[in-house]
Amino acid sequence: MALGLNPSDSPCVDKGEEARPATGCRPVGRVRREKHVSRAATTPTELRPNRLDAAVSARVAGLIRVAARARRRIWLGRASRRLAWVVAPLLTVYAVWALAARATWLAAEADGNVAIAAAIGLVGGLLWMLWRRPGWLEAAATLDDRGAGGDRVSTALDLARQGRADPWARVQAQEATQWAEGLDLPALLPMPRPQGIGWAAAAAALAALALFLPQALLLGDSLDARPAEGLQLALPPGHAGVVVAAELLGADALELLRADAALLADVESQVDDAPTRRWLRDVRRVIEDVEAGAIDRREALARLAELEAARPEPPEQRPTEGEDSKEPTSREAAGADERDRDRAVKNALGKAVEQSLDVAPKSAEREDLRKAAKEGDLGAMAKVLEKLADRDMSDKELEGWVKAAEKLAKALGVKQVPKQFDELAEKIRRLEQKRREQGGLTPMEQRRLHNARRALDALRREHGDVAGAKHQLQRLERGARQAADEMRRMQQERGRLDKQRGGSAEDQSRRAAQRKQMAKDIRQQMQRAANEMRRQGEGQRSRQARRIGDSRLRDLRQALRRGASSDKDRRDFSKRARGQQAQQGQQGQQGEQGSGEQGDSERQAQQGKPGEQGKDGAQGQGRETAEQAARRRAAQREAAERRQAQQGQQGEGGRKRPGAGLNPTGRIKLGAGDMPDNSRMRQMAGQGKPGGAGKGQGEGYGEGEGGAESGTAKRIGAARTEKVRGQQGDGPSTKQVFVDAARKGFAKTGWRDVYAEYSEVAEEMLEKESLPPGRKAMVRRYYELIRPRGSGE
Amino acid sequence: MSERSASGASRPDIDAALADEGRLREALGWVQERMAALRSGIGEVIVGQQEVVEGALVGLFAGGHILLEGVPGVGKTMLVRTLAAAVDLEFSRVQFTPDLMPTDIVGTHMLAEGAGGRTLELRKGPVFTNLLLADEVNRATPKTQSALLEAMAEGRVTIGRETLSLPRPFFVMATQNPLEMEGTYPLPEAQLDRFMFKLDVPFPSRADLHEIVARTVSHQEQEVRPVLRGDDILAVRRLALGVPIAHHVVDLAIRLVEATHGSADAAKQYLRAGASPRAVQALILGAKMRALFAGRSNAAREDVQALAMPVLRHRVLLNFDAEADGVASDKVLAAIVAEVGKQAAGG
Repeated sequence: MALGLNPSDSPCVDKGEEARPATGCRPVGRVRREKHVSRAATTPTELRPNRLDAAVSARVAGLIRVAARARRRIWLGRASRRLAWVVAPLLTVYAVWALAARATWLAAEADGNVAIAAAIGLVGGLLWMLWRRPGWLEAAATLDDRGAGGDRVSTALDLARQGRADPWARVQAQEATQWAEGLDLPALLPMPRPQGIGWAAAAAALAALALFLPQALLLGDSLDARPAEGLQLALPPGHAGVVVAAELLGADALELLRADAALLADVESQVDDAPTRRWLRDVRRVIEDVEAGAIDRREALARLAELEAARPEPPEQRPTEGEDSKEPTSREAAGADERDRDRAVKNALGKAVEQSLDVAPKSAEREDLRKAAKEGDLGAMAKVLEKLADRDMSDKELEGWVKAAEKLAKALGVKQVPKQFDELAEKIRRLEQKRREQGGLTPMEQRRLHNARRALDALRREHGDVAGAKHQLQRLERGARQAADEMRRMQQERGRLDKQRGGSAEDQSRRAAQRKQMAKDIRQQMQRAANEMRRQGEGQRSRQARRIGDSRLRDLRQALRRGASSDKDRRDFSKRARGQQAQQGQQGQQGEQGSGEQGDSERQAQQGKPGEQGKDGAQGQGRETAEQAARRRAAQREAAERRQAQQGQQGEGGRKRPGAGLNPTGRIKLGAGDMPDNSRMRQMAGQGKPGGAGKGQGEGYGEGEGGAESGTAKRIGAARTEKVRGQQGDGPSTKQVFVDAARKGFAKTGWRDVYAEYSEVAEEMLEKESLPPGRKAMVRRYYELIRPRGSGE
Repeated sequence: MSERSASGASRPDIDAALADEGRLREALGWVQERMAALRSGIGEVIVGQQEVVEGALVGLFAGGHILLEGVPGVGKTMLVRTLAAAVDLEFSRVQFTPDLMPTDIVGTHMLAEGAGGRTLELRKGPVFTNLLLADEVNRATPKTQSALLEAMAEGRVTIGRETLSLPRPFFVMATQNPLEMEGTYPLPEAQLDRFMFKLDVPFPSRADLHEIVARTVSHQEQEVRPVLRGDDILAVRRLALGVPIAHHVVDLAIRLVEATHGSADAAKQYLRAGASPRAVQALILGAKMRALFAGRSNAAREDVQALAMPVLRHRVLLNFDAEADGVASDKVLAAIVAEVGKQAAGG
C-alpha cells in the first residue's frame, strides 16, 4: 500500500499512546508489523522507508545514512580508545610469560595453559573493545552535539521512529536534512587518540625486554649453581653431551648421577651373583651414558624399561637343577618389604643358630658362629661352617655338631611368627572392615586401630616381616632338617659300624674307611648347609644391590621425564632450602665446621676434628683452616685406599662422594665421603661405617687418619676431654635434637620407635610433593643413613 | 486567514499552519520576524540584560509568571514596562508594602451613589490587567501575597461572591530585592512554584552603564512602539505547543528534575527539597518556546539546559550545609546540570 501524505494514512508505529491522537496516524496491525520486522536490514525497523510517510521517508533517508556513518565512527572510535587497554595487559602477560619461560620458571606443560589464557584474554579484550555498539539515536545525538545541531538529526530520527508525519515532523525532517548535508563527519567525529598509550608502550617495552634480555641474567643464581667447571673437568672439553645433559637434568642431578654411577660400580664389585652383577653394570652404564650425554632421553628411557624388565631374581629364588621355585617372587621382591623379610630371615636364623650352638662342642668355630649369628651375618656363618667342614673332627665333636644341626632344624621349625602378629593383624582387619561397612569408626575404635597399627609396626621393626619371610624360613628349615636327618643317619651308621667288633683286618679296615667316609659325608652336609647359608646371604646382598639399582633407575627415570621442566622445581626447592638455612642462623656455618666423635676402634682411635672450638661447642664442633682441611682429606683418602688394599672390602669414607661398600662380613653399608665443592651438597649429613671394626660418624667427612708412611692410623690430635659449657637459654630446638641425634647415632629406643613413622611420612611427602629427583634421592639416602642401628642390623 | 498584528504585519492562521506544512513555514517565519522586531524594540530601551529579556519573553509567551530578583535600579520595572509596551498589553504596577491588603490587589465592592441610591459597586483591583508588576512582592504580608495565588494559578479572582476571569494573557512579573531582607516576608514554596522562571537581574556591565547614561540622561525620549498584541502572544503560544521534542530531550528534563531529589551528588549534599513536576512542564514548554524563538523547528537539549537555572533555582530548597558553606542554589544547580549532562551523553 502506498503511503500518502495524509497524516491519517501514515502508519502509527510508535507504541506510545500520545503520538497517535497528535499525528492521527493509522494504527498498524501486529501481523503487518511482524512482517516488516522480518525483513532484516541494517536500518532499524522503525526507520524503514516503507513504514514512514513518503515525504518524511525521503527526507529521513539521508539522515539515516549520516547517522549510520556517525554510528560506525563512534563505535570504531570507542574501540580504538580501548585498544591500548587491551594491548597493554596482553603485552604484559606475554612479557611475564616470556620472562618465566626463558628463565625456566614455568614448566613446559604450562605453555598450553598460558596460551589458552592469552587467547581468552585476547577474545575478551576484543569483545570489550567492540562492546555496546551505539544506537541510532545515540549516534545522532552525538552528531548533533559535535555539530551544534540543536538536536535536529536526533529529533528527526526520533520523530520518524514515532511515525509522525504531521507538518511539524516534515518541517523538522527537512530542516535536519538541510543541516546534515553540510556536515563533515571526519572533522566532527575524529578517531580519538587511544587512551593508555603510555601503559601500552610500557608493556611493549617490557615485552621487548623479556624477549631480548640475556638469558644469563634471567637464570641468575641457578646458572651459578651449575658447576660448569666441574663438568668440563670431568669430561673431555667440547663434549656436546655435557651441555645437553646439563640442560636436560640440571647440575645437581648430574652430580648425583656421577655419585650414583660410582656407587653402583662399588656395589657391582661386591656382589657375587653374576646376573645381578651384570644387571648392575648395565644400570651403571645407562647412568654413565646419560651423565655423559651420549644418549638422548628417549633412548635412555627405553634402556631403563629394558633393564627393569630384565631385573634378575634373587639367587635363592631361582630354580636350581631339579628344583622348581614355588615361591612367589616378583610380587614379594618389590618394595621395602624385602628388607624386612631379609631381616626376619636373619633374625630367625641367627636366633636358631645361637640356640643350637648350646649343644655344639666348644671350639673357636662355635664362638665365631655365635658371633656371626648374633649379627645375623649369613655370609660369616657360611664361612665358619665351611671351615668346620674342612676340619677333621673327633667323634665327640662330630656328635656335638650333629646334635647342633638337629637343634637348629628344630629351632627353625618353631613357628617364627609371634602370636601377637596374628592377633594384631586380625584386630586391624576387623576394625578396617567395620569402618568400610559403617563408613567410620568411633573415636575409641580409631584409637584402638591406631594403637594396633603402631604395635604391629613395632613388631615388624623388631622381628622383621616374619609373615612375609615364611617361605624362605620354611625352605631353610626344610634344608636344615634334611641335613640334620642325613647327619644323624650317618652318625648312627657310624655307631653301628663301631659296634661291629671283630672280623678280619680287611673288614676292620673297610669299616674304618666307611666311618671316615661317613664323617666326611657329615661334613659335606655341613658344607651343603654352608652353601645354602651363603646362598641366602648372597641373595640378601643381591636384593640389597637390586634395591639400590632400582632406586637409581627410578630416580633417573623421574629426572629424565621431568627434564628441563624440573629446573623450576629445583630452584624453588633450593630457595626454600636456602630460606630455611637462613632461618637456621648459625647452622649455615656448619659447612665449614666439622664435628667428630671418638672412634671405637683401637686401630682407628682418633679425634674427630682438629681446630678451635666452635661457637656453640656443645657437640664438639670445631673450625679448621683450609690447610688443615686439605691435610685431613688427603689423609682420609690415603687411609681409605690403604684399608681397601688391606681388606678389599670397605666403605668409601674417604672418597669425594657418598658411597657404599661391603664390610668384611659381606654387608653393604652406605657411607658418605667428602662432598664436592657445592655448598648445598655439603649440607648433607653423612655417615660411614667402613671398617668392620671401626665406626665413626661425621658430617660428610668419613673418619680415620691413615699414616701414609707407617700404614697405620695415627692421631692427628691428642684425645682430650674438653668441658664446654652450654649456652643459657630455652634448650635445644627440635631441629637441634635431630642434628645431635644424627651425630651421635640413632640407636636409642625412642628413635627406633619414631623412625618408621617419620620415614613413612617422608616417603609419603616425597610422592606427593613435586620435588626434583635429585632431592628425592637425597632425602631417601638420608633416611637410609639414619635407620636405627644396634640390635636390628 | 490572517490577522493584522500591532505593527501591521499580518499574522498567519495558526490552526491552518498546524495542518499544513507550507503554512507552518509561513507561521514560523512570521514568529521569527516578529520576535526579531520585539527584541529590537526592547533593546532600544533596555540596555544589555539579554538573558533576562530572553527569559522574560519566553515566560511571557509561554504563559508563565516571572520572579525577578535584583538590586534596586537595575531596570526591573523598566523591563516590565517596556515589555508591556512592546506587546501592547495593559500594564499595572503594585508596590507591595507590609500594609498592603489583598483587596488592594484584587479589588473590592464599594458603596457608590447612583440614580437608584447607594449600591455596592465592584471596584476591580490592579490585578485585572494583562501584565502585572508586583514590585517587591516579598514586602507584603503572606495574606496579601496569597491573594496573588489564585490569580497566578487559575487566571481568575474571587471578590466577595463573584469570581472574575482575568484578561488574557495574564502575566505577573514580581520583583524581589535580595539585599534588604529586613521586614520582608519570604514567599512560601507553594507560591514560588507558581512562577515559571526566576530571573536574576545582574548589575549592568560598564559598557552597558555608559549606554544607559547616554540614553537616559538626555533629552532623547525612549519610546517603545508595540510590535505584537495580546492575541499574537496567544497565537505564538499555541504554535509553540506543537514544536517537536525528541524523547531524549524530554528525558533530559526529567533527569534534571529527578536529580534535584538526590540522584545527583550535589543534590545529596546541599539540597533539602527538589523541584516539583511543574518544573518539568516549565522546562519543556520553555524549551519549545526558546527553540521557536531561535528559529528551530525542534526543542533541543541545549534549550533545556539553558532554562534549567531559571526554572529550578527557586524550586529547590538548600539545606543547612549549603547555608553553612555559603553555597548558592545556582552553584548546586550548575553541578547538577553538568552531572546530568554527562550522564545523558554517556548513556
